[in-house]
Amino acid sequence: MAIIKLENLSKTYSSQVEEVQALKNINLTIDKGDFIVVNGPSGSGKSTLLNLLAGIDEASLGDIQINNISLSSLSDRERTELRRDKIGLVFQYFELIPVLTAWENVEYPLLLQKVSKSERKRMVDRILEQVGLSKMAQRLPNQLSGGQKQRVAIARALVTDPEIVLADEPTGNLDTKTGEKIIELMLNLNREYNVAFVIVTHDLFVNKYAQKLIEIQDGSLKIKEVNSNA
Amino acid sequence: MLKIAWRNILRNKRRSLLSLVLILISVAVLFLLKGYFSATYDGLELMAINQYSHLQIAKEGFWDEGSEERKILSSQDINKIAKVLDAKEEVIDYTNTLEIAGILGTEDRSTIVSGMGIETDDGQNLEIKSGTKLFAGDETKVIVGEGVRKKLHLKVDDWVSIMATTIDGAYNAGSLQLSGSFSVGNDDADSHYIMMPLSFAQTMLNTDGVDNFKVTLSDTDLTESLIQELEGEFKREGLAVELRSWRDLANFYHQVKGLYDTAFFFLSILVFILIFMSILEIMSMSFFERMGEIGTIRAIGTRRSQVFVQLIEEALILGIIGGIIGVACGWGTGVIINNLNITYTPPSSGEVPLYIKLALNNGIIPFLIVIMVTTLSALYPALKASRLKVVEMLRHV
Repeated sequence: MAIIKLENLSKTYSSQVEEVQALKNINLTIDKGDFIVVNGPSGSGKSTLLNLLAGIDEASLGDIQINNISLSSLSDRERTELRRDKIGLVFQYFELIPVLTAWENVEYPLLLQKVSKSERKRMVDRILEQVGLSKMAQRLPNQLSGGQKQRVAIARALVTDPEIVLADEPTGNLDTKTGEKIIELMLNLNREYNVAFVIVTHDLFVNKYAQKLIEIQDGSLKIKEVNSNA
Repeated sequence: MLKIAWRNILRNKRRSLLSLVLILISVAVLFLLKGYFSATYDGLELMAINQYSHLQIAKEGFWDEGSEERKILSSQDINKIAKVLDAKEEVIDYTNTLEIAGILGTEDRSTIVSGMGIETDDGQNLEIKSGTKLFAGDETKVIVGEGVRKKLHLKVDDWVSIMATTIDGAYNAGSLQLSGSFSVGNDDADSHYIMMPLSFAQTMLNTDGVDNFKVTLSDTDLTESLIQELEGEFKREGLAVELRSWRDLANFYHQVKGLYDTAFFFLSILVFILIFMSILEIMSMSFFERMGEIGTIRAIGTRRSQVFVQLIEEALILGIIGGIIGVACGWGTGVIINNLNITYTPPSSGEVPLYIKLALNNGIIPFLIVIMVTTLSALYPALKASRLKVVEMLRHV
């Protein structure tokens, strides 16, 4: 079942000097429970693709449909609410709110959704236990290691039970061993929650976990491999 | 959201402390100024009530400028008015006065004076500088302003002559013995003002009438309502009289209040600009340093309006805390100033104490000003931060 459909998607950045086409005529379907890894050299358009999927950037041409709703038809507020309810985001530099503890960071999206206090407690405790951070719950981000921060970020992305998690270089700031653990965690959560993951990465070791491996080069997308057994 | 705003304030303690100090000093200064002005207004009110009583009743047209005929209440009017006033519980006292102007002199000196014939058992809320005030039974005694006494080189019990014109226009003269000298707190008034028994002034002006009734009430706040009540009753009695409150009569009260209110307004504007510019700078720095963070919370589903509210909350919290501490500091400083017994000498006046009226009321306007200004100064950076595109903010990471 398709969650996201990209149809003839193009993105062009214009400056006074030149026009750069970051994405060219992209077509892609992301199904529920997919585990997609997107590779490509720097400047190939990987992050642009992720930003368009998250609805924080606008396509120059073409359309993105999430649950059959065209993103271009939504207002800024509706796109924000869509991100809040349907999309989880994981960033390279974790991007946790520095003044909130790990527990409070995970709680934050639920506060935006106005979930009741008791329900928030139940949901946050559960997801923190799943990412193995129950004992670190009351620590501030600056008291956590890189891997722990990324686990908090993953918990924050998943706590609202989204349909898709978009991760931009989630292992880019971690050592290989920690990076592998993070990807394995994502894969486990992908299987447990049947939530789709799109992981944009430079790290080639991630490819072995991919169900769909996508390569972007000069703004063009190529599905390289489909590994249904991953 | 409030928790995040509060923790962001604690996050950069030095910057928050700088904002707080700026806010609290401004509030404290405005509180002290307001307290000083309020104390001055109270003093002026007291002075005006001492001079004019709470309200005055006079013949219709008495206060009209340029009236050729002198408007005097006849003895019949006096009786009718007294009967009405006697029935009023709010009226604790009233007295009649008759204005008189003329030349006061000794054998070798003279000066132009304006004065008042008063009932000697009342109406002398004055600071006696030498001798005594007038007492009941005094018929040919006079008290003069300290300036008049000095000008005529008078000593207590000296005799002076007074020459005045009767209400019919004839010259009249009489002799008075100096009972004492006084000050009304104004050098100009003290240099030409005198008081004598009402009966003597009536003799000098050849009348059995008076200019007005000066009425003292149990509570100043009752003045306006009683005036309305009395106007109705006097009308029913067929009396052609006018009533004025101390506020109507005391021009100096309005002049000084107007001057101080204007000064307070401009000082408030100055403080407003000072805090506005400083907080704007501090908030802008704080918000733009956190651009990436704001981008992240927008990306994970925080609406523009929620970001805006969170940033405004930070400024509001600073404003509220700074405002409360500022009023407390202002209060403390006020207590110290009041206990130091500092005095100063305003122009054309004697020495007066520097007194700060300590009332929470005086903190309301400074508090509201600071809340308004901190909110306004955060408005632009908050609006800008909430309006930026998420993708642009995330590039600040």
